[in-house]
Amino acid sequence: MIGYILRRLVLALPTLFLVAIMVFFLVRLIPGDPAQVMLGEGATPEAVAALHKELGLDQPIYTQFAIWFGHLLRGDLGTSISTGEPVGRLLIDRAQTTGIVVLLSVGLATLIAIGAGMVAAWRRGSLLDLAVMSGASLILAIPSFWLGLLLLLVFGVWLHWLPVVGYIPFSEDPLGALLFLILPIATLTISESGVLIRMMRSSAIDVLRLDFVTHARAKGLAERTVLMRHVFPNAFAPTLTLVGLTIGRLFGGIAVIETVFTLPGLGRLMVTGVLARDYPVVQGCLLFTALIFVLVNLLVDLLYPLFDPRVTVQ
Amino acid sequence: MRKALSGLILIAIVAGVCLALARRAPPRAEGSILRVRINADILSSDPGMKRDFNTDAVLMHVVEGLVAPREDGTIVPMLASGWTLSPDKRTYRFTLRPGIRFHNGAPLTSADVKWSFDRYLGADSHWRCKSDLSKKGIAAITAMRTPDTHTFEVELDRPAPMFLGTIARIDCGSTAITHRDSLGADGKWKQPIGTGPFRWDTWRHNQYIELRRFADYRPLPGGTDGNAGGKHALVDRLRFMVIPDSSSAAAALLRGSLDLVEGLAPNELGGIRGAKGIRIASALSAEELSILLQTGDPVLRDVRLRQALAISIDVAAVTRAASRGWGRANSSPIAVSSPYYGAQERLLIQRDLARARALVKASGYKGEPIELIASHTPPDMYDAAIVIQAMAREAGINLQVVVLDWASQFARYSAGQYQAMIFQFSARLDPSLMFGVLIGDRATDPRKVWNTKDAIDLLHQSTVLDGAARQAVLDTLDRDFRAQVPAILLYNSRRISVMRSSVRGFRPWQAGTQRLWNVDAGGAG
Repeated sequence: MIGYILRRLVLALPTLFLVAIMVFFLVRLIPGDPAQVMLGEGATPEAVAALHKELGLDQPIYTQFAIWFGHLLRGDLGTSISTGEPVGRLLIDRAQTTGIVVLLSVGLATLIAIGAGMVAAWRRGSLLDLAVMSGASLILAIPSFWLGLLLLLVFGVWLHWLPVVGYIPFSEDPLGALLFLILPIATLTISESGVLIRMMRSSAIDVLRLDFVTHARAKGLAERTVLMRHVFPNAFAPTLTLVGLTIGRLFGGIAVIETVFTLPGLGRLMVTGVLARDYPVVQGCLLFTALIFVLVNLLVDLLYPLFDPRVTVQ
Repeated sequence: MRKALSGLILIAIVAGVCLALARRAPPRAEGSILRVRINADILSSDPGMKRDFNTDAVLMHVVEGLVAPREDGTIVPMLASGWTLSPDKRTYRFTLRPGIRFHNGAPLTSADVKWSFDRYLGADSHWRCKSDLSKKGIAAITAMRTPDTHTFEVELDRPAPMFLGTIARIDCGSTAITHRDSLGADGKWKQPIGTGPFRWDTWRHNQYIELRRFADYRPLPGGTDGNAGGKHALVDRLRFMVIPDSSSAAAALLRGSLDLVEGLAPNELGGIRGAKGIRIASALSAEELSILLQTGDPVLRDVRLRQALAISIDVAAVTRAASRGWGRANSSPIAVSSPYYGAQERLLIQRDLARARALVKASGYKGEPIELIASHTPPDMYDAAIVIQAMAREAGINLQVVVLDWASQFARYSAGQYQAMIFQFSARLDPSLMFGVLIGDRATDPRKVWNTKDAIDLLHQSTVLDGAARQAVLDTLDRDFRAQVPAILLYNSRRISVMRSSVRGFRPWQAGTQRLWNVDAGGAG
């Protein structure tokens, strides 16, 4: 097992290296100059040139890459052009917020998807199935920012149950932090549950058709036992893959939710970085997201044998 | 039955915990608080160095300069009690107000003023206005003297009536006088120790900046007047909350989690206008929306085509449509709120389609596409571009609107890589500063759109003259500008602030920065 994990991690290194190269050069292909954006409309060309020099942006691009990559190998992701903060520290700070929101949301969405998807598959063609599928389709059709604003309006402005803006770090006040995170987590849970429900239902229907399920039923097992012991483990594997991909995607992709709920997360950091052409921040965020993808996929692969006995870790 | 009961109990427990959380008493407030929205985090706490609009707005509550602009942009003393000018008009002698203290308790002396100026002009400094106070700028500082603890002298290499206006500029951080303990032992900036009505307290990146009332502040007499005047901290704490999304900010205001939302775009007022307990205030801004034209472009080189474009536009209609009726049409680079906005500047370019078509024909224009670059920052830029495109088409001018993000547009603006561009200039309280962003040598600064020798000479004259003579020069500049059409000015936008009804004393102004002294939360906090 440990050998397998190490092998996978070593194999991930070329991927991350390629990502680093692509990220570095693609970011610089975007029109716009961080020094100009930072100094603003009235800045003189001399001031812009001076800042270029200070930031090392006057160097040839390959020299810039060599310097950045050298620092990267030493674990130094550079310093934010806009704020002067170390990118590594920024990522750690922001990843905590995003991580809590994403993991809790995806966890809850998965639980909802398992329940709803299994029931819909079991009662395929019934009114219940129709209701679950209609609900899932509706969720897929609703943009997450709109849903977020709606929840904000209902639970924040009208009912006064939950705070509308602000954030308290978990490290300071876990209970208070949770209060600020309820609405974003609820929004993301609902948004992500749609596709997971559909996937779970579809996989469960496929498994329900298989001979071993008929055999289990013929043995006289209770329907609940058939579903939970025989159908669920076999049907969950494809959903688990999707869960892994969703976590990876959301780590860098909940900028809209973070903006609506004023959460200082990774997505907002990346969007702010792109708008300000803050190269080190954008590079750091993208590399971090790639790393999360690699690690989550590794974790999913390790979990696979738990659900599907046909798969083994070799 | 038992299972159903267990389920109900579980639901009740979860609901109870949620309600307990929701109704949990908030931590005890440390005195009164005014909570204000800013749409992005500040860039630094170092005035005039690493800055943007939000940075300036926050720091203006913490620091002050020797002089400051009044409501109409004229310059008056702030930390200085007054100044004298030498007969050769090259040496300014400032007398400092007695009894002023920094936030760390140290008294303000001329040595502190000199230390601050030395820092701004130092070799490693990124001070926004360093180049303005150089040989290439309005004048270079050749000497600084401190004859006594309350007198500070600045000697310039040439007379420069713009000197006071420049050091008072908000984007220059008001050339704030800070205490040397603002730097750490390593010589790096730590936090501002200024003389303003509020002192620096907490900066939580991307969450909020909190300032606290400075008990030993010595206000000038009078009330709010631009960035000058009497400043009284009426709340114990001032919290600038970073809320990028306007809809979330509006929700927070309605809920009472926020007291003031400043700088909303007209299209962001929906749903909040007319809401109970909410009040709107506005002021004409010195920000100007314009169309910049490349006079060297093969198509736009012919002045007749540029003139045709100018008179194909119904400026009043564009203003109504793009600013939702909030802006004020203005064809002059001089802002409506400026004391130099006279009879010449008031003339609005009138739409004349017949003449526009005739000019198009005379210019030999054959309908070649002209790229008009716009962005959504601010949102009315795009709206104006679409309306202008339709109006120009009626005169036979083929504008193609290209939408970029702000940084890309800004890069094109800085490099002069465009044919036509809708651009909003930030507030400049002095007319020469506004003309200065348009006039100059394009070979050395591609941002300039008007580079005739006459314009450059007139701009220089406008910076060294005063009173009626200056008005005459500015009028000439305005006339020539309209004739040569290097740009088309459209309107001054309006600064819109939305606040809870309990907030008293807040008034937006033409520079756009928030002034939260003399503002009371009225128990809202």
